[in-house]
Amino acid sequence: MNPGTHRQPVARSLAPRPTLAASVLIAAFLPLLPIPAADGADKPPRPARDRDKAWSESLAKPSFAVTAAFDERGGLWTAAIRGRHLHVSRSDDKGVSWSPPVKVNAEPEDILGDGENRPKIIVRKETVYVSWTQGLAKPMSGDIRFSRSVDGGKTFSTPISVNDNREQISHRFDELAVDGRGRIHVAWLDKRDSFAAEKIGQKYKGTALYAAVSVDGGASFGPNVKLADHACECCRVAIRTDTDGTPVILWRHIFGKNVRDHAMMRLDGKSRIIRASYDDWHVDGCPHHGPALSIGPDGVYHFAWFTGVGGRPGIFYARSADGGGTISPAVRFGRPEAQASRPQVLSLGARVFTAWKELEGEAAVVRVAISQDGGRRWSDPRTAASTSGASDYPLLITNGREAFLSWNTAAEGYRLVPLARGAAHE
Amino acid sequence: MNRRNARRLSLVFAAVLLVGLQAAFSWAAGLKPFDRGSYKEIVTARSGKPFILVFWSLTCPYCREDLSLLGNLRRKYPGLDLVVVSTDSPGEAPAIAEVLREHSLDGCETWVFADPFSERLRAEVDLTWYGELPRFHLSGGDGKTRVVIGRADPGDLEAWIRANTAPGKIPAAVGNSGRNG
Repeated sequence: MNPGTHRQPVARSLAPRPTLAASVLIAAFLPLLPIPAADGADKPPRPARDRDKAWSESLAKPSFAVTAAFDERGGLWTAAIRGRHLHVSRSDDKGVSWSPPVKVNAEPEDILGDGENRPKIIVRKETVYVSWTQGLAKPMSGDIRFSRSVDGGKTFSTPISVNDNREQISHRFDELAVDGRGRIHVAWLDKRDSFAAEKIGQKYKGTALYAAVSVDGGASFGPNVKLADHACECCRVAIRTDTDGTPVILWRHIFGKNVRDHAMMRLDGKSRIIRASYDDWHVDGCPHHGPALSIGPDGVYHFAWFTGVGGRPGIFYARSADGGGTISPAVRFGRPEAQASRPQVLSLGARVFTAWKELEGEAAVVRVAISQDGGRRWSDPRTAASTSGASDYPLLITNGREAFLSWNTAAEGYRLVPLARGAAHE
Repeated sequence: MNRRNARRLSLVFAAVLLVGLQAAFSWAAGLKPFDRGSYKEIVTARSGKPFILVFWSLTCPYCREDLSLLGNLRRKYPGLDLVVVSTDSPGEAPAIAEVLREHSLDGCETWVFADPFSERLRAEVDLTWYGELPRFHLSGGDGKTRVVIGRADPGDLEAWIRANTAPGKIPAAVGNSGRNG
């Protein structure tokens, strides 16, 4: 395939126009910011509004994040940030041609699309569900936003905030799932407990993991439910639905004082937190590197994650055939010395795919390994795509039959790369 | 030359203009653009003299706490050579400048990642740096560099500074607040 032909309208969110506008805006404001060259002498405290203003301006930065998903009929949908709007596009020919993008939020707002933040999109029975994190004026603050389209993506509902705590604090890193009964699950990292503790002079480790469910197809969400205290602050979370429809969530947790390994939980109302990785990575810092989860039609859970543990940093894979009751030993994949990072995993049953980013000379490449036996043995990795410039995280998506790499890069635009061909070897 | 090429060309021009503008903004804020070769430039400029290099980001809550610690240590040890590199982007210069000012670090040598291909910038620093923050490089006069990932232990950090800062620069008596150092 020729990736050059797969440039799609959404990828133009990378075009510099909005960035340019933002830059000009910043330029306009810069002279207003007194920037002393003074040494570290004591300075009078500056009003918080200056800080907030500078932060707000920084939210307008461009985003490489393009999130893609297939509907049941094989239609490919993308969600991408263009300026201060979320845009949704659809392709009926696997990304060769695209529908004109549809604006989700009529009122402009800052949509986080950097690092671990990206909009989410799921399409089921011709309803399009999207979620994202709205950046607010205070540093590292945000609200979890949701919208849906019930007319096949022609129009979207007015976005609603899912978090019922409306303090200007961090409710960020949303993740979205729709279960077999059409209930919509949104989970995110929430600082409300941390701020509550701070107010009474107590310390709170990390952040909390919250979720909310919509039982009316996304018209409204129920009360926010805390799933766990002490999650790691800025690593994306992953939710997938089990074969019985139960959502399962995987996230980077803080065990003990500051061990940042992973935890999982089945959201069936009775399951408890299960530890999913045992790297014993003690770090009082931000990995900015969340895990990936896939649950195949055979019900096997597949986990992929990053650890920076001293001596053996890198990306790892494990599987569980009994809902997390027993988890296989962690298997390393990718070359740590090539900065192997951003692991993804996708199960189609016996065929399981992992994808990750590596540096290869001057290029960033996406490497893929394939298992034909449900994740027990893996093929040698091969390079599925490459770019010489900046790039989004690689994503693995499926139309139910085949697996695809979905990747947006500054130089090539959006690409959908089928992974099935040449995958028969082991 | 068709319309598509013309459009591409105009995008390239816009991109060049954008990069230029952003670089100008960063410099205006005292932030140097951290690009290919910048890491080497920082290290070679010191020619073996001790210094602390710290990487941080606007989106890293732990980094704020360490910037606060560094601000205090810098007041306490004016001889400390401190290089502060934000892994954000030049477009965020105003927010970065605010944070540096808040922690009295705006007088240090400060940089901001100026290439959105951040993996390549990180690889020049360390092939196995995946983006974890904060990240400290404590480069001693003995030519050894100690890397600390995650928050630095304040006691350890201060001990390193005392051992590696020119003796004449260390104040004889140090107040607890560090503000009168």
